[in-house]
Amino acid sequence: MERIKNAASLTLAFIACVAALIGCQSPPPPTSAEIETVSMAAVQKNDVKAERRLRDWAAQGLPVAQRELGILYESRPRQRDEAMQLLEHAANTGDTEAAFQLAEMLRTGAPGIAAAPAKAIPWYEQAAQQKHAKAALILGMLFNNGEGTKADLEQGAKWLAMSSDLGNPHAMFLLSNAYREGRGVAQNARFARKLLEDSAEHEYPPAIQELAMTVETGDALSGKDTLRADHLLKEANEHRRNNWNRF
Amino acid sequence: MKINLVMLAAMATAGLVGCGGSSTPATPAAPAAPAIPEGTTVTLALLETTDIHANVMSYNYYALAEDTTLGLERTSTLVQAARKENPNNVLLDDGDVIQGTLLGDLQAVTKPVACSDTMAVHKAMNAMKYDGGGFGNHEFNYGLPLLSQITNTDFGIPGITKPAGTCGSPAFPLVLTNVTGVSSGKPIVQPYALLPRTFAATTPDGKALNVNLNIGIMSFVPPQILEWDAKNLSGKVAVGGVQEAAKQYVPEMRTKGADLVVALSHGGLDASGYSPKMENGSYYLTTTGIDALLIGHSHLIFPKGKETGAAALDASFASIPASANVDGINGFVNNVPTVMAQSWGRRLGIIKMTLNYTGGKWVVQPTKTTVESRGFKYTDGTTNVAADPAIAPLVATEHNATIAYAKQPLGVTTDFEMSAYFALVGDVSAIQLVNQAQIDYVKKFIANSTDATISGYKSIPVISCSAPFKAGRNGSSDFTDVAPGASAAAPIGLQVRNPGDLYLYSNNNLQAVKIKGSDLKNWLEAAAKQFGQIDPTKTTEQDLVPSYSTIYNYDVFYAEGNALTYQIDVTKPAGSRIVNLTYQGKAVADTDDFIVATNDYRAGGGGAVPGIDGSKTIIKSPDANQAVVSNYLIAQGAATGKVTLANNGSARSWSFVQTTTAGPVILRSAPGHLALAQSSGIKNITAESSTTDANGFSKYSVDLSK
Repeated sequence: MERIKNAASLTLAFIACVAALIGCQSPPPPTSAEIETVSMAAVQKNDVKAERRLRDWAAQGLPVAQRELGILYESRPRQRDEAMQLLEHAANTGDTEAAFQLAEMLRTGAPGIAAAPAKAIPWYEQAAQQKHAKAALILGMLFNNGEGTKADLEQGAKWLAMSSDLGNPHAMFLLSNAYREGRGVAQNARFARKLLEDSAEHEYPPAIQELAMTVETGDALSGKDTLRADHLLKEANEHRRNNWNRF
Repeated sequence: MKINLVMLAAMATAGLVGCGGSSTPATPAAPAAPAIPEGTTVTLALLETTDIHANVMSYNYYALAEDTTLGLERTSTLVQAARKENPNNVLLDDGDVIQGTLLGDLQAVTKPVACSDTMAVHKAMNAMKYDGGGFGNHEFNYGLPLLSQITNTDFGIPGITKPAGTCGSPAFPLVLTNVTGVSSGKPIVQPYALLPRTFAATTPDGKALNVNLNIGIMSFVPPQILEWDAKNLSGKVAVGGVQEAAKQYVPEMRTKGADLVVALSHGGLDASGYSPKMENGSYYLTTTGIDALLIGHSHLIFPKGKETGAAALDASFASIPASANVDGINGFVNNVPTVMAQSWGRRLGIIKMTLNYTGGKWVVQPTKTTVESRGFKYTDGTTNVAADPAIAPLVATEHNATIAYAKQPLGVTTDFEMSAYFALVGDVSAIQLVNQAQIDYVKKFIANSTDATISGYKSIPVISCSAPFKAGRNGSSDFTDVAPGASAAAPIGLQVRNPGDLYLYSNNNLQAVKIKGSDLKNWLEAAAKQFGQIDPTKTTEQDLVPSYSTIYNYDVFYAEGNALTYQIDVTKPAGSRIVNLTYQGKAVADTDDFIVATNDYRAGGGGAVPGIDGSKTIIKSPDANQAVVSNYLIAQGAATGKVTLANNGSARSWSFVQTTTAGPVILRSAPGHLALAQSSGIKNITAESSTTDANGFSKYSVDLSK
């Protein structure tokens, strides 16, 4: 039985191959994971074949391929314009990461190209609305600092809250500060502490350190716990080598 | 039956032909086929450690104190007990073994272990008789050449050569499934191994029978290693998605006779959609045909501890949507038994499974599977397990060398005492060197950068800030005091540990931010909040610094040649105290640009300095501030043999706006240092109280008119 089934599926596979070759049936479009796997090969191995595949897929209008190729081109100053076009295409098709990457390019500029945070904001907003945690974080900071927009602490705190809810530890920490100081939100020490704990749990180095400092001496919200402080600092120490460029 | 065997043989041949390659693991000798009666059962335990991070002894090298809550010497006791309970067992490690303590750094960087020797942590693991191990991201922290040596593995990467001969290494097989060499295209370590084991089984009629089983193991690391250790890995290795790698090898392992397939996944559980780029992809291994999942990386306990008083299940597991089918109480993810044994040897993961011999193969009986993440207090919730006395002697030399290392000479002398007793009234003897080291680092970083944006910053002034980290937070004896009594006539040699006194927090990485003059003023105002507001008309005693609890936020700024100076008016409310802020003799304008060398805590929003929230960070260095200070001191030693008060300890960048007060103003500090204040020329300290306060601090009189 098993054998017969195998033989049958082999025949089917053969027919599918032939069909694909003569062009009467196009192969199914690649999944996002498949495109990203090819993209990883292009980036990690400088694999020109992989890059070509990505280009073909991008030309076919696959947004994930456009985004991945755009990200690859971002690292090459001479392909900056192409990168932005690809990312814009993908973002307009609804790709969240592409909108974020495009916003980043606009916000930071490049040598000889002025930063344009105001132009970046709508793209960040699109990505954030599509649940991109880091896009919401950056919006929070732009509103807090009045970059590309008028300074608005309440608006800043709202975006930080969204980012924090989406799991961004950097946003959790900044929001914790906001609640502790009452910046853009009503002061709430207890909630500030909860956010600090969450952020430390998610490995944001400043949060680990701040929490360690807090429990080392104890305060109104929690008693002195030197073992915990030691362990937090030990953890921060150990993860220093991977957290240095992570957030 | 017959057809099955034929099919199996055919598939095995196909598998062998299909993969080839030198790093394909050898097929173990096929288990001799005893006549196993249908319905025979075997019960076995998969034991897991993860994220040991070079914690062999129950000792914290950062605190230089015993810590009986961690360490392999105690995990070994857990292992012995678990083996007694489960005679059929395999002990596996999930990676992040070699890095994390000073012991690890010493053996990898400071005095790298020789090929002929074995790392302390591996010595302990060999004694504990591990059966197999995987890799973690931190294994790559010390670079590929060392990793190749201490695992005795030729990675097949051009330019990375393992020392000739057999190097000291784990005595058990190591596997790594999703990392390949860029030029070879082949796995750098065997992608999987089959461990042939003979286990005691029971026939349906209750008789004992020894059976041979092959336990297949594979291991996965997060693709992010290419970012975290770019310097060591970029262009040399490629990292694939965990699911793709598993799908590539699980069928091959089965073909070669794996009765159980165990994934050692150095990643946590993230149930949001799959991407091969994700960091915590373990969840997506559950659909690749594996039988058990041993996870790590996030240092958590999974499932919830079974001991009395166990901590609640971590919130990150608890918040996974029910549809993802994660059972954090019984330890199943998508019906695959899953365990995470926290970190530092604090827990032992135990997956106990029963297999039933059905239709010619071993079939897992899900209802008989139990999962436990067992801690040191598992017996009754309070009693800590004792250390296995066999471990300490194995690593005594390395352990003692690590502790002794801190007292070795650094190769530089000082002619001044570096202390924080009077840092809050202007003394910079314990701070200036940190600032000088940080400025030196950032200037060189910018000068040597190949990044067009960074090298475009060459004309912007680089300044630095650091704080008196150790200044009374933990009581009256908690003050930095390096080289007490040092003078020009009697200089004192610094020791390896002294940079850690000047820069207390070894977890901080150096970062730099690019800010405006207006940001600098806000930053200084935030720092100046450490002072109480002094009312000059008050006749009663006033504390200059009411609390030391956040004194690490008192940033003292410095520019080369003491070119940046400012004054603090403590009679004004917080937020409007900074006056006369000048750089190179000119008032700092709001629009001026500065680059500030600082740490990742401050640059990333620590201390809530307005505008300093991570968005202005231009340099994220992989180097620790403490190492930067240490290297600077060593360089000074190499150049001149010394650091001096004139060059490195007397550039007081800030002072108080002079004020005459009607009553006493005091600074609480460690008793007995009035003479030091006077000899150091700290003129505003005029007297010391004859008795100490309730917490052991002396009250030093501060004359704000001086």
